[in-house]
Amino acid sequence: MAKTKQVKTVLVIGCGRMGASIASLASEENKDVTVVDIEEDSLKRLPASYGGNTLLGDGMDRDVLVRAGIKQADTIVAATDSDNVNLFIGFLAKTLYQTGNVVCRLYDNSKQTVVEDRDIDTICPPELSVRAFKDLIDEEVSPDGHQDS
Amino acid sequence: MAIKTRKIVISGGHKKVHYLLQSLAPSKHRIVVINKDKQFCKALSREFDGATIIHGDASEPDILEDAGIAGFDLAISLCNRDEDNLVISMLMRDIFDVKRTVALVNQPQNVEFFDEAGIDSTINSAKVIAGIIEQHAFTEKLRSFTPFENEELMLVDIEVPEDSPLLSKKISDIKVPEGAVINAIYRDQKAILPRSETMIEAKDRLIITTFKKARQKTVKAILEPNAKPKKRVF
Repeated sequence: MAKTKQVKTVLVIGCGRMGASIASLASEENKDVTVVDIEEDSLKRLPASYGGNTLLGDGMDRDVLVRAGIKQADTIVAATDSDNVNLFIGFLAKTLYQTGNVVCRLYDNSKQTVVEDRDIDTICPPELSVRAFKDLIDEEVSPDGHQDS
Repeated sequence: MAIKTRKIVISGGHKKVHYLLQSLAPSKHRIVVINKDKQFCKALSREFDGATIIHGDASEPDILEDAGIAGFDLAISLCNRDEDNLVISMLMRDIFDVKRTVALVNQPQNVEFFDEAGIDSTINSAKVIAGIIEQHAFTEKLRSFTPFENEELMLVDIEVPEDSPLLSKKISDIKVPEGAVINAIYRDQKAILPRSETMIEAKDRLIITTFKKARQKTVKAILEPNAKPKKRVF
């Protein structure tokens, strides 16, 4: 009990561009990573340097998730191309396996309300892009004083 | 008998929605249908002018907002993907305060999870069908069930097997579960209206009226050699 776990385990569902990048980043940080995708070709997105595990299978399937190590995972990132699948997996991880960190990728940020107050985090790339874009514009504009009035 | 009118929203599905609308049409329920298939929505709105048909994805909060279903009595989700039904049901319940949620669950393994997630009722076709098959495997002597209009009573037509506990017994001595009555016996193609002294023979076809809830017990009493029905009725 007192033993602190050294290596954090991360489970990534969906090996699209985002899933693959998160997985390889986590693996560079020496985390114990497993990526699951339903398509073999998607798993090829992982860089040659990726040192984690891969599993071919449906991330909605409980048996696949168990084989991927959901019971031991500290973090699960649901990054398939479907918001509802990501929410489903996130909610499943939280409800049935009490996974500590649960992150769901959403295209439609309004769906975030469904997991509010459930200790599930969401990332919405379009929203982040817009924010970053806005910051860039603000930076560009402010020094010249064009926007100051 | 007045049935309370309810506000019902039905998301996803095709044939099931059509069937539901048909059976609900005579009622006074307020019905909203949300469906992603535009052509299907058009066809539905032509056929059912009493219902509100909305083209859109019911898992998007904006669509639900526009549909005006907040506070509805019942949300039925019939999509063919479990994740859609889960997200829709959760939105309906948590964000739009719908009182009761019913979801189709396509994968049997997800039934338990939907229950845990607090979806009020789940419908899983595989489980329903498995139940029916089980019943039929057990009751191969059963010729038919005919539900009455109000579905409270059923007419059962069943053949008495060679090892039935009812053999060589007078009708008056037979223990049939409460809520069931033997109306007629077909023996060698002839109908007999049973009297208290009539004896049951193997291969008799019994026509029984039974309350739906007593159906299973009634069938057991006739077919299972060791069944011990509790109540004596005849």
